[in-house]
Amino acid sequence: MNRIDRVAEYLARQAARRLSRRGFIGRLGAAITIGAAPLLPVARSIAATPPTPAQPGEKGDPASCDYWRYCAIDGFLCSCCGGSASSCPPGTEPSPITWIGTCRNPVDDKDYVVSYNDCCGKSACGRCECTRNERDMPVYQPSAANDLDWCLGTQNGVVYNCSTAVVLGPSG
Amino acid sequence: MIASLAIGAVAPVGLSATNAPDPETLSPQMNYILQCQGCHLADGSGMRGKVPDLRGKLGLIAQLPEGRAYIGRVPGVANAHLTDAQLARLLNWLVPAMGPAPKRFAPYSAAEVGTLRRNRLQEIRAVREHILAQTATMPTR
Repeated sequence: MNRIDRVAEYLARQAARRLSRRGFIGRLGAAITIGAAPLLPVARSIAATPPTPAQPGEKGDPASCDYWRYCAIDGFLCSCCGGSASSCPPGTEPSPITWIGTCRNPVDDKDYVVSYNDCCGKSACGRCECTRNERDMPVYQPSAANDLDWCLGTQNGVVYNCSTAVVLGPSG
Repeated sequence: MIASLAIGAVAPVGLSATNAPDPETLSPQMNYILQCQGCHLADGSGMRGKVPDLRGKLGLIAQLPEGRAYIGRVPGVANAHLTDAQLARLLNWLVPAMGPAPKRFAPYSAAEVGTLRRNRLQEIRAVREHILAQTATMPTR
């Protein structure tokens, strides 16, 4: 027995000298975290979210540049940035002054007045950048140029996050 | 450029359209929406410090000869993507609508608007302050 005890003690002391207990816990923690990442509820909820549905009387995907309301948009779609085609993402403020234009709804083939309210107060979203620019004018005609940062009208300053396209009503 | 847009008294969000509705066939209200509302907002309230409030002011300004000319010469009006006739119709609707309804208001003619807008104001702020100082003493009814 003494011999077995000595061997066991020797091995245990060798292991204790070689192995870092903190390092082992750290590696074990990292392995669990990385392994569990696909199971976290956040990741699953994003994967399970269907695309934002179009409003009644409209067709198309509000998260796509081709969506009819975006005929004159120049910027990031709020639909891809935590907001929607007509609402700002949390933590941003809609600019009260806007670029207003008209777009033709392919469903009823009528023109509608669309207000492109910029959402402001957080850094640029960077997703779903669209540049369609129908009827956009050069910046030397600033009142009709959509390259302007319309966030100049907000109290939060001029930090641009994304753009919405709010239908104000039929045109004409 | 941005500053001139922000301080223009009637800064439009004008669109010269290829396939947009023809301004000539649109009502003055619709042309206001398309050309002016982007900055002046639906009720004319504008934005403090950036876009002047039209409400309760435009009717007073229009009663002063200098003010009547100012309305046609301010860059937002002068540069609007509208014909002289359409612009005259818009102003003839807008001035009483923003109030106070002027006691005597001869409607703008297309020719008058055409002359004024071709003589666009270069320095706006001093002229506007001078006119607003005169309206401050005018009865609102």
